[in-house]
Amino acid sequence: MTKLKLPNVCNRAATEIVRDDLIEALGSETIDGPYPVDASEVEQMSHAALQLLVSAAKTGPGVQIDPASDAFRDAVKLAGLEHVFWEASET
Amino acid sequence: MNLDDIQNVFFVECEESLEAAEAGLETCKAGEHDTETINAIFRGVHSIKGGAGAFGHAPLQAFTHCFETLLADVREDAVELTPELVDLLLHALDCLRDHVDAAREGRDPPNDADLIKQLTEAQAANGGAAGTEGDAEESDEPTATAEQGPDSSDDGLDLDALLDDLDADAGDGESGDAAQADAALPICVHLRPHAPSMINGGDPLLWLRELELLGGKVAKCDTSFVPQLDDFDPATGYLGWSFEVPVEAGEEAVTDIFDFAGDGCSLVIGEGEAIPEPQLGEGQSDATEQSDASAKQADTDGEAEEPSETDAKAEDTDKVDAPAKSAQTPVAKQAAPANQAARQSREGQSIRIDLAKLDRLIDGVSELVIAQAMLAQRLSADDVTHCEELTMLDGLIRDMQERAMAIRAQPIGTVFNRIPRVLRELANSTGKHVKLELVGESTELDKTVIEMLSEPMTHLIRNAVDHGIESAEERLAAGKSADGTLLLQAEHRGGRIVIRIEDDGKGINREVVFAKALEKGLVTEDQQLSDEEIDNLIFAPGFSTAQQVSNISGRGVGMDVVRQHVKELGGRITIESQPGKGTAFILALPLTLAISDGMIVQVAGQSLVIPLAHVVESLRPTADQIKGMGTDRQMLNVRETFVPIMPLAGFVGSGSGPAQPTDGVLVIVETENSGQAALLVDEITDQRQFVIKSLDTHYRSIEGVAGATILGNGQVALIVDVDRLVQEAASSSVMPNTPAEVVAA
Repeated sequence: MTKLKLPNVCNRAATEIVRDDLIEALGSETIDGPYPVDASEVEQMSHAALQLLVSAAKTGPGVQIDPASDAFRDAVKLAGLEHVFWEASET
Repeated sequence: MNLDDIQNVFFVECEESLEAAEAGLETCKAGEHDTETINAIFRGVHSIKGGAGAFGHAPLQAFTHCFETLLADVREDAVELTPELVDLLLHALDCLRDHVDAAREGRDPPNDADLIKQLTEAQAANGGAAGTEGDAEESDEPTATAEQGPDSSDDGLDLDALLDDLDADAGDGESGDAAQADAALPICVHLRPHAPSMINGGDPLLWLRELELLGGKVAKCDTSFVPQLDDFDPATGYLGWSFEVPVEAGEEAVTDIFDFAGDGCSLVIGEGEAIPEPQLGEGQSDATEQSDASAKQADTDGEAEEPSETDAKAEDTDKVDAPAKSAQTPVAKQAAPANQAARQSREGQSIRIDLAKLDRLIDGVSELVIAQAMLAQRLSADDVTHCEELTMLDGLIRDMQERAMAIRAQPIGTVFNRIPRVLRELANSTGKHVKLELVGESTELDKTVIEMLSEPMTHLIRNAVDHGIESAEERLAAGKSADGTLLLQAEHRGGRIVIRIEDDGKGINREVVFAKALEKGLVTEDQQLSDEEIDNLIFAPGFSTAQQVSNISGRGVGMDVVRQHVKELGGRITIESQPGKGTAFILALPLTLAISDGMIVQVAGQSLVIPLAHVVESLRPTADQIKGMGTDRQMLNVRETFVPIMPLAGFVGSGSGPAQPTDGVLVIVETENSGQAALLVDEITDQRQFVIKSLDTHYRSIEGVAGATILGNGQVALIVDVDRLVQEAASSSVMPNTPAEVVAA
C-alpha cells in the first residue's frame, strides 16, 4: 500500500490538493485498513488541513498518521484532536 | 483593506501599546503606581502579543508571552514589584520594542535569550504562578498561592480582573457573593471559525495558539460537523472548540484575540454556553460555486444535520454534547452587536491617513497660498486694492492652512517618550542614574519637526549624562543627590517651540573648553571671549573635551552635527551654563516647516521677508528718537527704551539703503537672546503668509537667512533669520556678512 506524504506546509491551498489524493486513495477498493499518511515532514499545519484529516478519518477505513513531525503533533494537540488520530494506537 | 494594511495598523498600535506600557513602568519606577497602572502595562504588552500571534510573528509572540506572564504575576501580587524588577521590566520593554521593529522591518529578531531567562528567573524567584498555569508541562510546579489569602488560593483568583469583568458585565443582576463564586471557574470560550477566517493567509489555529498562551486548554473539540471527504470543502469551517482559560487572564484578553476576526468566527463566552454552529450553507455554497459541484450541497447539509450517525469513530471522538449543538445563545447574539458598535465608535473617532497623502494636501495648500499672493499682486497692479472677495479668499486659505497643519501636528511627547530608554542605556553604560522630569509633553509641533528632532535631542541628552552629570560619588561630595536630574521642557513662545534640556550636573568648565579650543586652533591665546562665546565653542566642528572617545559621546562631531540639525529645522540652539549647577541647552524651533506669516519689506531694491513672529511694531522715526552711540551705531528711543538700529541694506550687500533712519522705516523685532532690535528698511510692502522653501535644498545654508519664498509677483525673497542676524550684529557691532551672493543668484 502506498503512503500519502503530507507537504511541509499544509495550508489551505495544499489541503485542496491533498483532499483529491485522499479521495482517490480512500475510494480505492483495494484498501483494507486505515490509509497511512506520513506527516513527518510537516512544518506548518493549518485549520483547513486538520479538518481535512478529520474528514479523512471519518471516511471509509480512515487514515493512520505515522510518522508525525513535532509541528504536526503540536497542532493536533493544540486543537484537541489527539484522540482522533492516535487515541486507539498510542494511548 | 488587505492583510498588509491590517498589519500596518497593528504596528501603529504596537507603538501606542509600547508607549502606554513605558509610561506605566515609568510610573512604577517613580513609585506612584496603582492597580490600574499594572493593568495598563499588562494590556499594552498583551495587545502586542495578540497581534503578533495573528500575523505570525512567532519570536515577538514568544517574547511577549514571557513578558506578559511575569506581568500577570505582578498584577495578582504573586510577584513583588521591586525597583530591580521594574528595571528588568523596562529592559524587557526595550527588547520588546526591538522585537516590534524587527518584525515590522522583516529583520532578524533581537537576541532575547538572556532576557527571557531573567524574566523567568524573576518569576520563579518570587514564586510567580501565572506562567506555570499557562504552561501545561509546568502546571504541577508549586505556585505562590501559599502567600495569598484563602480567597485567591489554588486557582490563582485575580480579584482585580474579576472586578473588571464584573464592571464590564454590569447589570447582570448577580450578587457579589455569587460573582466571587463564579470567578473561581475558568473562562469558558466557545468558538467556531468560518470561511472568512481562512482567506488572505489567515488561520484560526493562531487563535487557538493565543488562547493556549493565555493558559487556556481545549476542553472540547466538536468534529461532528466535519463531513466525509466527498462532501468536504476546504473553505468551510467545520471544527468548533470550547476552551477553558484561567480567569486571571481576563475576559478582555480573550476577546482581544478575536479583535480582527470579524465575520470569520462565532464566539461565545460563558459557562454552560455552547459552541456556535457552523455556517455550512453559506460557506459550502461558495465552495460549491467554485467547484461546480452544486449537487453535493444538499448531501452535505444533510450530513451536517446528522453527523455522528455516519461514523462511529467520529462519534467516539466528539466530546460535544447535544446542548452544545443548539443555536447560538442570546448572549452571543448580544455580544456581537456590542462589539461591532464599539468598533464603529472607535472608527468614528479617528482615521489613519497615509502620510504621503497628507503631504500632498500640505503642498496643495502651499501652492494655494502662493497663487493667492499672485492674485493679490495682479489685482493690486490693476488698482484693485480693496476687494471683499479677495479678503474672504485670504481668510479661507488661512483657515485651510491652519487646519491642514493641525493635522500634521503631534505632541512632542512622542519624542520625549523615547528618552527614558536612552537614560536606561546610559545608566547601564556609565553607571549614572538620572531622574527624568518632563514638562509640556503635550506641546504640539509639526510631524516633520518631531521626526527630525529626535536625533539631536538624543545626542544632547547623551552629552548631558556623559559630560554634564557627575558620578554619584562626585555628586554626593558636591552636596547633590546621588542621582542626577534631567529636565525636558517644551513650550510655545513667540510662534516657536522652545525646548529646554537641562541637567543639574557640573556645568561647562570654560577653562577646559577654552584650552581645548586653543589646542585645536579655534581661538588665539589673547582672544577675549565672553562666557557665552566660550560655551558656543563646543559647537565647533571636531571640538571635544572628552578625555576618551566613548560610544556615548566624545567623538567631537556630535555637537556640531546637533547644531547643524537644528539649523536645518530652521531653529537655533543656545546654551545656559552655570559651573557646579548644570547646563541647559535651549532649542528654538519653528512650529512648522511649511508656511508662516511674514512682513515683506524692501531694502535696496530687494524684497526680504521678516517672520511676523519676531515683529513687535514698525514706525517711521522722528529725528529726536534717534540717538548716536559710539562712532557708527545708532539707537532708537521707543518710549524711553533704547533699541539698537540695524540697517538691513548691509545685509543685502548694498550701501544704497536709507542714509538715515528717518528716511526709512524701522521694524522693531524681538529676539530669543539678544533682546529687541530695530531693523532699518526702505519700506514695508506687504504682510502675508509665505511658503518656506529651504535654501539648503536649493542652494546652501547662509548665515542670517532662514530660507526663501516665492512672492506674488513670482520673485524670490529671502527670509531673514532675525535671531541670528541680530545676535551677529550685536556681537560684531556691524551687520554680519551679507548674503549678496544669494541675492545676485
